[in-house]
Amino acid sequence: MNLKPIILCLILSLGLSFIGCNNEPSVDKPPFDREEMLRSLGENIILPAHQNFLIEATRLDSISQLFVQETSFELYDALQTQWKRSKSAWKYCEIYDILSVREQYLQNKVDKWPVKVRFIDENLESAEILDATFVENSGSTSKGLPALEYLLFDSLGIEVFKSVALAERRKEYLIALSENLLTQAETILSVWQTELPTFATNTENFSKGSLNELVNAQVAILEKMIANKINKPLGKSDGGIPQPNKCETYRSQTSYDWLVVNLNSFEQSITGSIQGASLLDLLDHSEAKSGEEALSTVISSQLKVCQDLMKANVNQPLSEQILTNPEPLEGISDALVNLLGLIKVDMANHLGIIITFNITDGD
Amino acid sequence: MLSKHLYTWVDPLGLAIFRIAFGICMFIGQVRFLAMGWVADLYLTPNLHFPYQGFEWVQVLPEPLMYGLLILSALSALAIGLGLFYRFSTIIFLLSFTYLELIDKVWYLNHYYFVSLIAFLLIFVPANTVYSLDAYRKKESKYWIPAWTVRLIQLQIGIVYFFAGLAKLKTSWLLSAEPMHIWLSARTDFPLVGAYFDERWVAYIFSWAGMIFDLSIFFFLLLRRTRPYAYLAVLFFHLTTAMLFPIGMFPWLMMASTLIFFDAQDWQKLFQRGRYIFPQSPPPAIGLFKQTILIGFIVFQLCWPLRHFFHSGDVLWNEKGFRFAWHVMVMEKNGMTYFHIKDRESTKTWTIHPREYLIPAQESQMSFKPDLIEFFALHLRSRWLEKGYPNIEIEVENRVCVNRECKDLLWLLPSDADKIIPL
Repeated sequence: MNLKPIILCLILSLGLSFIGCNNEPSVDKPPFDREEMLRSLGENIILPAHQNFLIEATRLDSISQLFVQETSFELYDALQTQWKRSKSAWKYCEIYDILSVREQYLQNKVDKWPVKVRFIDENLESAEILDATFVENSGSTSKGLPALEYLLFDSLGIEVFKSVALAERRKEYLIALSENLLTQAETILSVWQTELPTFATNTENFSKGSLNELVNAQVAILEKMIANKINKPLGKSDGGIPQPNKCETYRSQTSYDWLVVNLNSFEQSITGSIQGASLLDLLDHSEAKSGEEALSTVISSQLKVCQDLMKANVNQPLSEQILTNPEPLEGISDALVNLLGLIKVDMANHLGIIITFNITDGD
Repeated sequence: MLSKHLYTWVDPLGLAIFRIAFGICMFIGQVRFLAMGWVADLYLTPNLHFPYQGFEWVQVLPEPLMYGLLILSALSALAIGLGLFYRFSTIIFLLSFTYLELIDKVWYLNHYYFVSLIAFLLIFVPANTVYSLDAYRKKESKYWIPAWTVRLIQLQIGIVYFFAGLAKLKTSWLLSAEPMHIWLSARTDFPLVGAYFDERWVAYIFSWAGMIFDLSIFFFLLLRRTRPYAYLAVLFFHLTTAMLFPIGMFPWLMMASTLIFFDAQDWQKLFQRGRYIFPQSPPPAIGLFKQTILIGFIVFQLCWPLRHFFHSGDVLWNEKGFRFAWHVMVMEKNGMTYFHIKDRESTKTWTIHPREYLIPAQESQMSFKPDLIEFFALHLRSRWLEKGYPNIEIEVENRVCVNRECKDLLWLLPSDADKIIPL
């Protein structure tokens, strides 16, 4: 038998092993530590965001319980304020719709909008026992933060809990929704606590790799901001006719606030928490350029443009501004599209990211 | 000389082994396709498909029939592997597999095309004369087959490698080591040697070695003296790509397919099997009909992949002549599109994010392929026509990156044209 090929193969394998086993590889620059990047992001940003949401959801539940016992204006204000705090805390988590959280559609149970008003009204009018179990078994469009907003920001104010028909049922539903929200917050935090080690170590670049998941999540939140949170209310899906009711939280007139928080959380996800261990640093490491400039610089500049436009241009609720002064919002939308292009196209190309989870394979 | 190589008898063992390997590979591939839920994801979920020109009649069938087609395809592949009702099974496999691939351009893969071509050729070759249930069933094995039947398959495999090598003769591949550098940089976690994958020189080695491998491996596989080393190179090359890149069945298919280059002598050594005495008379000539088909097929295979050279512009950007031309792993490409619709008779405008109409993987592919962008723009126009807007124009905002080079492109579908034009 001709042993030459086998010997050749062995020599080749030994050669590769020798190179690989060398403790101090003689490379020009050490490889970028993706695991450190993912771990620091997980431990310092993702986990604290979810812990904070749990704290806010717990407070919301407590205030709801108090409010039901004593339906006062003070507690009603406190409840509305706490809903906003909870929503804001959630918006720092929203971008991380990845891993099991995405696979199990857990985010839908917290914040799927628009809420189906008809379902909630039917629930209120029904003979069902409105408790946490009932809410757990309900569809995503009649629970979570949007359903709470519907109850808490009614145009009749506190009266819907006091004097109008079904006031008691509303209180029951409020408690049930708050309790269920708390359960969801605990569940999602628990998923992250369990999966964080895997998230950090799954540095492979295949479609299920953490970096792919993260960049796809960044793309998804920017697309959601552009398409759902700005363009739809502006009427860009309706021939240019503004649609105030398509604003994310038009009842509480807070839609614009969540856009700002979404962008802040996007910034956190890309700048990271440790110097030298962020996605922008990874881009620098891979010498990614946009024209003559570093791509990381261009992304940072565009992010700043978006943030400045957001700070400068809007001083009234989104649902009103789309009717009276839509131009600044058009500008924000355009700036976000440019930012999206830099992430979805330029950054993905330089880092070999698979945009969307490739459901087939090969080339 | 050529005639001597084609019209001689050879042992059918190599071809039988190829048939078994191909059939099993494809059976596993189709079962995997079913198990991954891709029938639903790729065919049943999308509301819109991107048909091939001339094949618009190839449509998604009702759900039970789609699953039935996949199962039929898997079973016929298994039957090919077993050599059961071989020719009939091969025809069924070719038709069912190709039908599935023709439904949507988005899912085009070079190796799917390769599978269809091999299935087509298998119809014409007697790969079931030994080690097959047909031989067992008929209680007769034929221990000699015409050499051209083996050479035909070898040539097809050689064409794949050689044209894949030609496709790599590009500035980005050779002078910038892209997209290899992008892909390797992302695999610094690779065991043993991953620490080096960030280095540009490593990407150059991979790029040039890959190009030289593709251009030359066919010839080294043909020569008896170099064949064992060449096959080891095939194993090393494809195992490396399988470990480094998410390319599914392709490496396994090629490692199995290249077994066809081993001739009877090689297999006889391995199986400790004696030699058969072939008939004195040469094999019969191929019939005119079959000859015409096969020669036409070969000429087509040699010419068709070259058509992109006759289009102006860079094939990686315009993708004219990109498919069916063995452009295997030559680019990292990403894109993003927004479609702006303007009604010329009113002031109405719409901004369309394709994700509202397509599944994410379709949207991702469509965003950087001009022919798919054009098809989608035409689709939007027909939708708006149904809504009562007969006079619209569509502007497409498109950002594309190819191998680290990025551009903003703008296309227009005028209200009275069926082609998008660059602005």
